[in-house]
Parts: sequence; structure tokens; C-alpha cells
Amino acid sequence: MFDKILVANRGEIAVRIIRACRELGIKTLAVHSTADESSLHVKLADEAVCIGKGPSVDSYLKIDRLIAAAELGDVDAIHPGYGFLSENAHFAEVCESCKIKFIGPPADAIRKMGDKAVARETARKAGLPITPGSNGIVENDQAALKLAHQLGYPLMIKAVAGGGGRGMRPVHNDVSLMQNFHAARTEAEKAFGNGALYLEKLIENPHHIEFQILADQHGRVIHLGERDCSIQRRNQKLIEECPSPIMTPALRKAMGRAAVRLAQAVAYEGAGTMEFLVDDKGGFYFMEMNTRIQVEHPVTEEVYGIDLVKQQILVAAGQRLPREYDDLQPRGHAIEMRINAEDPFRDFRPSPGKIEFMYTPGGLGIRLDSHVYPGYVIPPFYDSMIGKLIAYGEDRSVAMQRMARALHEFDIRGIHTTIPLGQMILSDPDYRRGRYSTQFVEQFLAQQKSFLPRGH
Amino acid sequence: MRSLPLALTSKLDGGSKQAHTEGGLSRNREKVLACSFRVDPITGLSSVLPHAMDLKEIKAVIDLMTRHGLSEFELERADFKIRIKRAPGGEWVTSATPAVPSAAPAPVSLAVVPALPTTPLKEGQTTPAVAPIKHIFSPMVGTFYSAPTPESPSYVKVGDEVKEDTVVCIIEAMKVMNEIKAEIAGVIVEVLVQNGRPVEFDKPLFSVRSL
Repeated sequence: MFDKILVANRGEIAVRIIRACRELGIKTLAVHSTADESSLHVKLADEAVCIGKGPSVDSYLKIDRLIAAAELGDVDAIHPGYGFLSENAHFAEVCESCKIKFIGPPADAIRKMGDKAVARETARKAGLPITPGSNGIVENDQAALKLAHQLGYPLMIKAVAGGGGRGMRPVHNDVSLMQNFHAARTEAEKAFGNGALYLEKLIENPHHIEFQILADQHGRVIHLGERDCSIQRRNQKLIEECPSPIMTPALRKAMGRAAVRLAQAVAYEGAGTMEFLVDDKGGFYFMEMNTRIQVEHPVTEEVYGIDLVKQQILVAAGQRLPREYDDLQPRGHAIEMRINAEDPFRDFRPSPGKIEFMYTPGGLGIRLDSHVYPGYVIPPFYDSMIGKLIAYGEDRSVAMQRMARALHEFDIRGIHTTIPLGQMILSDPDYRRGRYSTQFVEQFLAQQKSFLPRGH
Repeated sequence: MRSLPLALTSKLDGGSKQAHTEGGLSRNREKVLACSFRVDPITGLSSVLPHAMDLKEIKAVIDLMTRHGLSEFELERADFKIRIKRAPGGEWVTSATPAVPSAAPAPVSLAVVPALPTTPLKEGQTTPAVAPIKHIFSPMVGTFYSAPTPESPSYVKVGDEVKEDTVVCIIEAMKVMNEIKAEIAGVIVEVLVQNGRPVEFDKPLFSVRSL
């Protein structure tokens, strides 16, 4: 077992990793920017090293400083969390060459799944249904046009180096295809350093359903069911739940098998998530794979009773997945709401600053994964998520009741948060019936007077 | 009352700031029985939680004192007292007196003594001039070496004059020796890191008096 792990991340996920390590008796080394000196993960870790200035590119993304800190701290392994370097194959390779275990899949698997066009092709070869689309990269706008006429509109232009909801543009006709093709290329060049694009059929009103898998170093792969993440705004998830309200045992079996097959095809290790789109006829299509722990992992943990971050560490240390994991069944229902420091009534403008007062909800079935505390100053350099509120209940109805009750208790002053938006979504009749697609939030916001743009 | 030892900086820069210095990274860590504070988020009352602590918080106080030119820090409570002082030779001395921890919160007194200027008085000078003290901070993470090789003399010592491009030390990371330049001009007043110790980004390495 590892003696010490370097946590190569910040915020709530760094706290999450430190918690798992502490429970396993593993020492932790936190790294932080100068802006994160008062951060909770720094306080909770056994040791801490400052690795650079505020902006991520000057600190959390600096591979040389991370490795230098790892050597100073004499760590055995690095946990990359999510975002930052967690899906950076080069970083995984550097760790390996320095004899530090990268807690995650092999660099090769990261690379394969990181290129979204290669991932699609790998999935197709493994027998997974994929969204109808291009066979790899679309070279130019003429090729795009030709393909568009074969597939039919609407279509989605996607960046091969994108993912996580970024680098996607919907197009509904030839004109918008031509217009967006070049813009998408330039945008992808700038954002990901790779302008290559591919085309996919745009599935209307889909559910975004993802499957959690775990793989050990001995070839065993299991799945832990699905999460429904359709409640998104601009491709960023807001509310997630497990199980999905539209899942059936037969569909879960088929999708779970597909997810396991793909993980085996790339000799996966660790925790991973396969994202699918599901249409209203129960047809499912592979979209992409995330080769890391995900933000919304807590809802799976609550329903399946398994500590996913601990499992990541145990598997990385060479342990086999327990026999009992062969036939896991979901029990109860969990809903997670991401709490962002944004003002939902002013176009979700970020709201950094000092948390003057905070009362956090508690009670049966309530879990809060957060790194903020009263007096904490939210730095402006990072994403706006300040915590995740998770409600668990014996069924969806109780889970929703508990979430509503907890949101009502949750009092944060000094900054704006998206809590009011969460409360409104939770009381929406369609949401409550489990009748929603990835279009839900946009339609919801358009209908609510309070979210209408203010006149200038 | 907010009474973390780090409350020093909350008065100075308006936010709580926790700096981490060298040490605390080796496996043999000294344990110092000390107290730290928690402030209840609802009532604002402070309560004492005595616990065995490694050097992390003590070193954080030392680092803050260095940055702000303080030489003595004392914290006294009914059941506990700690004093951190910079001796004339430059070493840090910490003394703590733990007693039986009390359950009830108690008032705290903090005494902080700023460092006296070290410019020697010249004959005929009645008021010593105090030139500002600046610091050279580490631009990277690694191990600090004061000399090019173990046999060589140090790059700089106290009293040496440095220019912006004077090499003042080496910081080694991943077997690469990086020569660190002063980037400021002045006279070395103090060497803040011991040879061979690990340093993090922004760690103060030298105190320099501008000319």
C-alpha cells in the first residue's frame, strides 16, 4: 500500500482525495498556488508545498513543479483528481518514468480516449452503438457538406480534442454548417491546440446517461450503474441523479455490458465513465469516455455503497476488485446539485469574494462535498463550483424532498450562488416527473421571467 | 475573537494566509505539543483544541514573521503558552508550555514585537537610518544549495553586496541545478534557508537591504 500520495488538484476534489487517504492510513502531500494558501485542502493535508502563482497554468498545470514537489515529499503515488492534468497522457508518462504511480489508467488508454474521434472508432470496433457521424476527422468544409447530405441535419460539429461539453457546435442547415465549420476549427485550435473536427448526428432531446466502471490491474472490469446528467446549462452539468428516471433493468444490463466491453478493449485500469446519449425510444449511443474520477461520483457512491476514490487508490496499489462487486445492485436514489458561486439572475456572472457567513445543511441523507468555509475568500482563478450537495433517499421522491429541505436550510452570505436556481428546478413538475432531456435547462430559463435578460 | 496564530496576517492583509516553509517534508518530524484555535462559524467564539502537532503551524508563523520583519511572537492562555523568537545569531527558538487542556474557551493575549533595525550606528549619527528590507523568493520547487559544489564556498554570505544578476544560490529539481539570480540589488542581511533543505515556490530565501 502507498505510504504517501501527492494530491495534484485543489478545491473539493482535493478534500475528497485527502479524506480517502486519511481513512486508508496514507499520508497526503497537498500542492497549492499562492492564491490557495488558505484553502481547505492545504489545511487538511499532512504536508503542503506551494508550487506557483494563482493562475492554473502557473501552478497546478506545471508538471515540473509537481514532480519536484513529489520528489521532495518522497511520495509513492499522485492522484490527479479531475480536470487539470487528470487526462494528460504526457503527465501520466512523466510520473511513470519518475517511478511515481499515477492513480488512473495507463497513458495509452488516456490518449486513445482523449482523442474523441479515436474513442468513437475504438468504441465502434468494440461493438458499441455510436452516434451516426463521420469516420474520424472531417478534413474541410466540402467534406463536411458532403457528409451532412448523407447523414441529414441536424448535426453537431465537435472538436476531437474537446470533451467535457467544450468545442461543440450544433448546425441545422448548409449555411450554418459552413459558417460554424471554420469558427469551430479556430476555436478548437485556440482552446485545445488541435483544430481537428468530426461530425455527429445531433440527437434531439436526448438524455445524457453515463456509466461508472472500475477496472483493476488483473483484467477485471465491473460497472456501477448509471448517472443521469441531463440537467445541464451550456453543456455544464448542474444536477445529476442515480439511478436515471428513464432506466430499465434491461437497458442497464445492455449499456453496462457495453461500457465494460470498451474498458476491456483499452486495457483500462481505475475508475472511468462512459457517456452515452439515450433517445426517447431507448436507443443508446456512445459519445465519449472520461478516464478519471468525475465530479458527480457521489451519487453512485450513495446508491451502490462503494467509496470510489478509495477504490481508485486500492486498485492503483495492485489490489483486486472484491468478488462481491460482480453483481452490484442499486439501492435507493441520490440526487446531486452543484453549487456554483455565480449569480443565476445576472446571466450566471461569477461571484468570487469572501464568504461572510455560512450555515450548511445536515440531517439524514444529506452529504456536502465542499472546500469552502465562513471567512474563505473564493479566488478568481478557478472554476466557480464551491461544493456539491447530495441528497439520498429510499426512492426518488424522498431524495427530492430531502434536497428541497436541505437547500432551504443552506445559508451562504457574501457571495451569490446557484442555490435559488436549484430550488426552482426541483419544484418544476417535469423535473419532478423525471421527464427532462438535455434541453430542459435552456427551456426552463427561457420561460422564467426572473431569468429574462435585463433591458439595457 | 479570531485567535489563530495566523491572525497576524489577517490584520495585515485582510485575509487569512497560511504559508508553508521548509521542513515538514522529511519523514522524521518533530512533534510539538501545542494548541491551535478554531473559530465557531456561527457564534464566532474561539475554542482551544490541544493536539499533538507537527512543525507546520509553527513554521507558518516563522515564515510570516520573516516576511513582515517581526522578531518575537508570544501567545499566552490560561493553560498554554508559546513563544517564538529569532535569536541574535538568526536561529529561531520556540518554547511552549502545555498544561492540562481546559474545556472552556478562555481569553487570549497576543504580543508581537517588530524587529529592530540592524544598521550599526555611526559616530555622530543620532537616529539610525532604516533602509527597507526586501526578500529574494524562490521561483521554483526544489532543494536549496548555498554553494556550487559541496566543497566550494557559498555563493553569498551575510554582508555581501549583490546586483540583480548575481547568482545567490542553486535550487535543484529533478537532478537539474538551477542557478538563482538575486533580481534585486542590495546587501545580504540574512540567509533564511539551510543548505540542502527543500523549498517551495515563493519561499523567502534571503533578506536583502536595498542600498
